[in-house]
Amino acid sequence: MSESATVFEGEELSGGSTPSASPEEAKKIAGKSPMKLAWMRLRKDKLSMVSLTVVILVVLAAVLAPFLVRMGVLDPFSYNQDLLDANTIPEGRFSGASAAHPLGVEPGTGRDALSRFWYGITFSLIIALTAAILSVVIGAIIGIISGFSGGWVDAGLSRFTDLTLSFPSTMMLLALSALGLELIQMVTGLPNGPLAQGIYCTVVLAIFGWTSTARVVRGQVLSIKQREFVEAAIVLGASKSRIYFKEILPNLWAPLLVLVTLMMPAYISAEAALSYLQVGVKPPTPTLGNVLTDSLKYAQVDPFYFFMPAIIIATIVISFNLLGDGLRDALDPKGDR
Amino acid sequence: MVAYIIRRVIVGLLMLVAMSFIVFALFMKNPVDPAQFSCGKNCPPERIEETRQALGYDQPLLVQWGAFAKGVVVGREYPADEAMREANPELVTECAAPCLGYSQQLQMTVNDEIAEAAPVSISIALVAVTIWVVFGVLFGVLAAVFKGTLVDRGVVGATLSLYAFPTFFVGALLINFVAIKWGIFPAPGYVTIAEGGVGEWLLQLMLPGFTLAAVYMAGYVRMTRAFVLESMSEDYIRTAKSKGLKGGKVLFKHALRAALTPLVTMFGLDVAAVLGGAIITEDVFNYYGLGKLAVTANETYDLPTIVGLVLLLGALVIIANIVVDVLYAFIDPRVRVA
Amino acid sequence: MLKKRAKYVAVSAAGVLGLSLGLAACGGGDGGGSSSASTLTIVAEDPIDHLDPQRIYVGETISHTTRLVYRKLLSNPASTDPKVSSKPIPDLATDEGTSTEGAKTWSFTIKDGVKWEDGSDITCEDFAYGASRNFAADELTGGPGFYLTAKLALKGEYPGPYTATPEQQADFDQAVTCDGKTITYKFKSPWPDFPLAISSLHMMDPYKESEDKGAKNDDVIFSNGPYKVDTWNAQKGGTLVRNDEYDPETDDKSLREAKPDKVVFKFGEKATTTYEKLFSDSPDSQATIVSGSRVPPEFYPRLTEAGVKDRYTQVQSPYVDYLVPNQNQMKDPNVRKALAQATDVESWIAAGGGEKAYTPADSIVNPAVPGYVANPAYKDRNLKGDPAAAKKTLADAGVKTPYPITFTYPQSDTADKQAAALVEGWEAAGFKVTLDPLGDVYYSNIQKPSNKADVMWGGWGADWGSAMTVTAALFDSRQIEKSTNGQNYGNYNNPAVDKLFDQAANSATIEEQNKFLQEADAVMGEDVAYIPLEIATFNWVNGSKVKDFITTDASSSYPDLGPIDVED
Repeated sequence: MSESATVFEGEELSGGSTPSASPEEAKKIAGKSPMKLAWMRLRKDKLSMVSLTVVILVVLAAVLAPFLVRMGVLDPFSYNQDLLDANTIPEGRFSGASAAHPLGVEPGTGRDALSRFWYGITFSLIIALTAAILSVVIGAIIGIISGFSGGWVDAGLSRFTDLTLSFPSTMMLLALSALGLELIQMVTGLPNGPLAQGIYCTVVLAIFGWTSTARVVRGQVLSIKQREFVEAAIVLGASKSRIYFKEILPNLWAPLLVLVTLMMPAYISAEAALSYLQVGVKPPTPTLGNVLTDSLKYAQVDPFYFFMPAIIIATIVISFNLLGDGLRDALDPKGDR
Repeated sequence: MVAYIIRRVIVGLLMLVAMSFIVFALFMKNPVDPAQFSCGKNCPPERIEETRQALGYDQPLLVQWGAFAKGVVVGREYPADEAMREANPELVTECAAPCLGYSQQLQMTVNDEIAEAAPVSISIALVAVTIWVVFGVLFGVLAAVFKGTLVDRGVVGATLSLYAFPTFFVGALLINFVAIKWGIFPAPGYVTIAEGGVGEWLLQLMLPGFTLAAVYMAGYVRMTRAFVLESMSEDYIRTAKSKGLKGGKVLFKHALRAALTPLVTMFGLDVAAVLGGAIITEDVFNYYGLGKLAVTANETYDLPTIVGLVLLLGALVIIANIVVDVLYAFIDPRVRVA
Repeated sequence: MLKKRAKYVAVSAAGVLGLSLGLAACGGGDGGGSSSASTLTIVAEDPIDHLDPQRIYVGETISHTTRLVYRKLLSNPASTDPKVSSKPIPDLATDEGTSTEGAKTWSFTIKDGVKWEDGSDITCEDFAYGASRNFAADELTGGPGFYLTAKLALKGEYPGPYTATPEQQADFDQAVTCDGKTITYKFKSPWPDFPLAISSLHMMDPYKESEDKGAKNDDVIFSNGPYKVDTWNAQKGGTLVRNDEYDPETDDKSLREAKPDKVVFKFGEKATTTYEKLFSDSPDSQATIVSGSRVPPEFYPRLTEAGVKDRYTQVQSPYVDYLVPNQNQMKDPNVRKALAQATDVESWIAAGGGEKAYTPADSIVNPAVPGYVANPAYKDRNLKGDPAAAKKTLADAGVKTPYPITFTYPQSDTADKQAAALVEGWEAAGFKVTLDPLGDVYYSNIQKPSNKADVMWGGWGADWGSAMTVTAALFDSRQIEKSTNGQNYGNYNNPAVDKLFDQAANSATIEEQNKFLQEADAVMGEDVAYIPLEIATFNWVNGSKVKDFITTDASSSYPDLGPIDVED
């Protein structure tokens, strides 16, 4: 299998082979204080700093949302149908924006639009981040074992990686939804609610998303394996697991960080697509995908509501992508782009 | 070389076998009854049992899988249960090799379903691939040549933005505004070449083609840009330049050629993916291709169709990989020994 | 939501409330005869469930197939006058039929010159065979055949034509007899409105035995009407072209004028997209009408636009939407009462599109059905709901609050918003609500008596103009079996009510029958067997080149294809 290290082969879910780290690029990122060097380089890059700011703001917003909802500052669930006209479309311009509802209200229900977008970011980010971390953990374990063991274990795991990549992932996400959801309910005893649906999204995204990490990590391990400190550890009789986790993992944080950053936007898009296909987290729980799917209907009568969620998703996706690129360049001294 | 190809094909076949087995295990051996799943909505208990027999779900997993594999190689007959075939000869349906299954709900073989839907997916894929390759490479070269300028940023920024908006939003936007409100393109509806001629066919494919291409274009722009930049800084290009070769000639003769190999790789895999049906694009535009077929099969709980489609797509990706690897081996002989 | 509601519904007969605007009243005009081939396109988001005449049970499908491909002994005229459209007239039969023995026997004579699409005559035996298919309910699921199977004068069990022994077949053949071109049906008890059952459903349609492949034929149309299938795919739709074997001389213009040369069905397009095209009069939508999906709420503000106004039809539907408490789960009547008190119908309506989309309902029976009276329990209720009173009722019931309930409903974007609208009121009263939206499995889930949902959504319209086909059809406990509760989703079981249903069934007059049914309804109100929500208003917009677009009682307020035409 060729080395196109796509973060997530989710076809239209997240884009074919877009913004991604290729193993060659991510290789050999080590130095005396790589963090400091990288930070210096990153700071010089204006675009990365802007996207870093946006990303920090988005994450902060996501973390704050549940507290704001609890405090009653954000209210994504209450109906305000008195704000709608006889056709149940918000009265006034910009979806009926007012001081109480800065981004207006949702047609049909009068739920506060800002609250729904904001809280939606939280749910989407939770799904994306959990799925990204899960993917990286699975990928790292498989990559380390594969790279370190070599021989038939390596060959077998590499074929397994190829096999996973060969599955039509979008179709699998769709086709497994009924089975997967049922299975999750049985295993966890959860009712068919947002939690079970969220777990389904997270798990399937991770199941089909770990391959790029495994490839990158395997490549890293192969190159690190040759270095003196690892060889020394082997000579000194260090146990295998000690070598895996004590000696090799610290050298992997840089490429893994890049991978997670680049997986985030892919998974945020994927969550949206799953919601569109009715196999994601179901409403009334707001996720970016749910809000966007709902907004599609209002292109003509409420254009503001039509464009807002899409612009929010796009902004988040672009920021994470640019940050990921910036990080990769900053962490890779050779990079001249 | 021949030995390499043979080796690659054997590995590919083994992967297909493994994949089909995993798919079978996944869908047939789990807490959800596959017979109920294939019988459709509002299915009474008697029909479930009948479906179980007709599709052979009453057999052990290995037997089912063996029957399926045999069907792929030499074809088979449905209902799967022999006694049932003898009792109701009028119900027997022939499914020629490579038989991918039988949909109890649509009362037709999965092969026939695919044969009906595939031309739509292939059409969309053709247009999309053309758009993204032509513009992706063109913009990529442009961005590389004008590195650091407004052109570079504009091109990269625009394609990244296109990629960042979810596909279904881009599709809805095009339908609502470009087609319906402004009337620049006709409201989408698939027309075959036989019905409307090449012109009409192409016209109807522009919007879905663009929607699908928007997903992939950014990747090609970035890839092309990166490799052109990288190869332009390589020694032999510098040599060529210093020898007085003109910029354009250097660009196309040397730099682009260097970028070609990785592009071909990416291209092969992406084409395989879109040939298998663009689920969201087809759903948004209601073009009845393989992707839309998958969506309806999932909505109506049509398990045989789902299994058949998954395996077909998997096979496409595996074949694409083999082709790409072999091409690679031709371009770069070192690969063969690896 | 809509699709499923449609599933169980046919025609409401004597509806007077039908309010047709715009083009609806035309009718006459130059009467078609266009020079070039005209094509009418019918777009639907969801495919048609069944096309086998003995399996069709969706009001709209019944109407479309009646006008296009399946003629019946008697059919209802396509007229905006409910008095006309609710009175069956001869179609394949020579007259309205004759009944003897106090409506226990019915005979019809088949017209000469009526043919199947292959040119063969429609025979009496075809009708007898069609009737026998209603008994093969495990093979041919989904149909309304229970009306016939409950009534036909059989001596023993009859399992339908596929598996019947010769004796069983002989038993059927004595109940349905052929004498030349005259078919006679014998029933166990009087069936005075049998003609309405014929004209409102397809269960009594003829079926040609040599064409029968059982369940395999679910999407096969073997026509005897003015059109026949050219191409058809169950998921995508298809094209109907003129049927040369159809002779308009044998037909009545008030049943079908068959003006377009071709009728194209297109399934799968999202209703939003379809209406987007219609509203902007996009060239490819000008000869289009929509099936199934009414104008979605997001288009309401644009209904008054200049180019749209005259293509807009608003009509009250023959359905009632309601909530059903599951009697197996919510056993305490006071808890059910609290739920009813806390139900915020106004929010539900607003979340579904407001006053253009719904009118509040106060009974399970649609006001257009003879015998309708408001249910005393819901006559003067507070439509906003009264959480405070409900809280008190719940406290009096002595149950632990918050009282956990699960509300299940067929999933759709609008239904999601409507369901969430109810949650607020219920939770204010002391319930803790879990929403469980379901997809295609909705009805098969709630039809299981073991279903664990506490509250369910239902939608129903009379099969014909008789409250029997509503009240008794939905709440008679004797349809509850081990694996299914039929249409009694709430597993409501009150012997006193069952007795009233029996008295109603055996009543000599309609007035007496309705008295018993009204009495039963009052008891059901006390028991909170159901909570009425609303009556949907249907909003339609048709393409600009579509002429004579009407909705009638015969088409359950969906577009009636009888007189429809397309301009060049």
